[in-house]
Amino acid sequence: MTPNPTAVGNPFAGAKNQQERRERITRWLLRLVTFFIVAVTLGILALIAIKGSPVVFRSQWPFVNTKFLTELPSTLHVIEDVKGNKQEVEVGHADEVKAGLGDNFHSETTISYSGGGILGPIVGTALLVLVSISVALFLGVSCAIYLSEYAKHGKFLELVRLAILNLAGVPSVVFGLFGLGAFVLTAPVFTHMPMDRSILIIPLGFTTLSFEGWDTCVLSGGFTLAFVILPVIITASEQCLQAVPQGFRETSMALGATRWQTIRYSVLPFAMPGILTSSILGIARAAGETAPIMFTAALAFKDKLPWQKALPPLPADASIFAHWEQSVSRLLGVFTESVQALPYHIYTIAAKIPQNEYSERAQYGSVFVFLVLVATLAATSIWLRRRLRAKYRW
Amino acid sequence: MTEMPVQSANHDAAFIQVEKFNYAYADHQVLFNVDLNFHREDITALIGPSGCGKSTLLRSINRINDLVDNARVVSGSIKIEGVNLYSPEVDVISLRRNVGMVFQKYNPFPRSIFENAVYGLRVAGVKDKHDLAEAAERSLRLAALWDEVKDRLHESAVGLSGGQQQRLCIARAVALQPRILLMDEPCAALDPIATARIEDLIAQLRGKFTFVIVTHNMEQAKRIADKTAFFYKGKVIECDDTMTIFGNPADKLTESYITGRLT
Repeated sequence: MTPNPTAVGNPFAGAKNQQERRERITRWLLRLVTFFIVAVTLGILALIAIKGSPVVFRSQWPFVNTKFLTELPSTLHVIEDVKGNKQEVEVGHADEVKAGLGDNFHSETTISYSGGGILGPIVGTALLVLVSISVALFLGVSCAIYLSEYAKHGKFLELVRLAILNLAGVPSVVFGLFGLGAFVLTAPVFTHMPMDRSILIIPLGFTTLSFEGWDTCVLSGGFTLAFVILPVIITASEQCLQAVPQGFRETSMALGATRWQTIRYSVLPFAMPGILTSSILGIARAAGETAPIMFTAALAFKDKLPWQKALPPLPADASIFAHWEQSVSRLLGVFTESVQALPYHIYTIAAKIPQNEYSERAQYGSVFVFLVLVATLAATSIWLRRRLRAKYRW
Repeated sequence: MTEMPVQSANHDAAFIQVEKFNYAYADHQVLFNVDLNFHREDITALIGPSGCGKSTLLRSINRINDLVDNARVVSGSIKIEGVNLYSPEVDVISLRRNVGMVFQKYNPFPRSIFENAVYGLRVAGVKDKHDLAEAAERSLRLAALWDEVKDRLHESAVGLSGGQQQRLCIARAVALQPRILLMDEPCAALDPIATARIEDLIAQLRGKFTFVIVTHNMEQAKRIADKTAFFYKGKVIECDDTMTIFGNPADKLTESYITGRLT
């Protein structure tokens, strides 16, 4: 049948009916919800940038508040004179300033943790991330290799996957308690003098292995965080391994390689870019967790960096080896110290101390630095993925 | 030049013997009582419709199919010079060093051409640089690729054309000096010109290896194979000289397959 153009005109002209209006409303509703989410995200970022950047940046050279980034947190003293002028003073100089004001002195306010900078938390977070990502990568990649390359499909594998999936759903504070029980209080150490609360003591002759825990330290916190990010690392690593063409495995084995040689030379190298990329996202996650480190590694306040531990002074005629030994023990000692960490520091100054304009300033400064660090990590991950993808295409 | 199988008196003696071979994936049997003999230094083509089990048989000869989950030999045996490949005394690794394989999809590793050529030697523990370089040149020459790549041995193999990549895969397989070369549709992913080059190469290598080639291309089987075996639904229907199979097949099924009337 042929439409008659003169009689019908536009044959596709439909009536603007109820249905069409409903369609339009639905579309706009969904669009608004999406815009709302974007707006909230941008709003959060803008608020942090607006309130945080004045703390971190300066209008004059070197344009960055070096004090904020290179000093440890300290108590801030605000001294007000009779005319109402306020003066911010560091701990050590408070009395000096008060004496200088003499009779003009009106009042003094102290705000905990809000003075100085945030170097301590930055260093602590860096160390925690270093330990956790090393542990998580080793355990996670090993597990992913087993699951992807060795394990046979079946009930057991399903069970393992279910366990990993569940691990991802465990609230982080539970990991914190697990870390407290497992690493802080029971993990094994070599020592000559086991503690009374040690659960199991195994004499080894030259020393004893005592299950008395590592105490609250970077190692405990790092291991705990490792378990938090382990599901992410395992899942991502397994996907990356699966993405390596099966043909590589078959070819390699057909050329007389063992299974491990095949993994070592023809699977892992091509999966590694992806694994590293996703592990950077794991780093961002580990850096941001507060609950797992509250009981295992982090302190609200510490006036020393982890390597500034007081060691017995060496005698003047100490040999070069003694110096060397002390340096090494200082370096390794970093991991057995408790530290401050950025998320916990933010929690402390935002929730544990009376709020005022000074503490708010410290909060937003810390949050801004934290956000920039995490964003840098994410950006690095994207950049790395692009570069390595280009290199290892097949 | 290299240690090659000598033209022996027992040229026609069965070199690879497949006897009453039954093979299954879990409970799904794919090969039924396969009896086949591959003769030394012959080129044998395996033809048949998709899913007829010819690839499975090929992949059982170097036991690469062991990698597939739930794949198993139900009964029967494959023997090379009388040794049952599936007996516990056989070391799969050394078996695979003696039986080279080229796959359908050319898949050089995303490494340099040189590293691809010597991969088998590397995993076998050869460390001497001189030996490796010598082996690389020898196998690349054998695969008729040397002249094209000798100036860029250390560039990525992924930069080569499809046909070159497949010849590199052949070089990689012959680097270990196997006696048997299995090819699973070696030209399926190549254009006609590259296909012709591979066929020329196989013709050149005739007599240096015992070839077993799975192909869907009947013209190719006609051109290169001495013997042809026709598979249908997991059974060998007919195996004879290529001329006989294509000229005067004994079985109705074979005839309808090679004339394209088998559905």
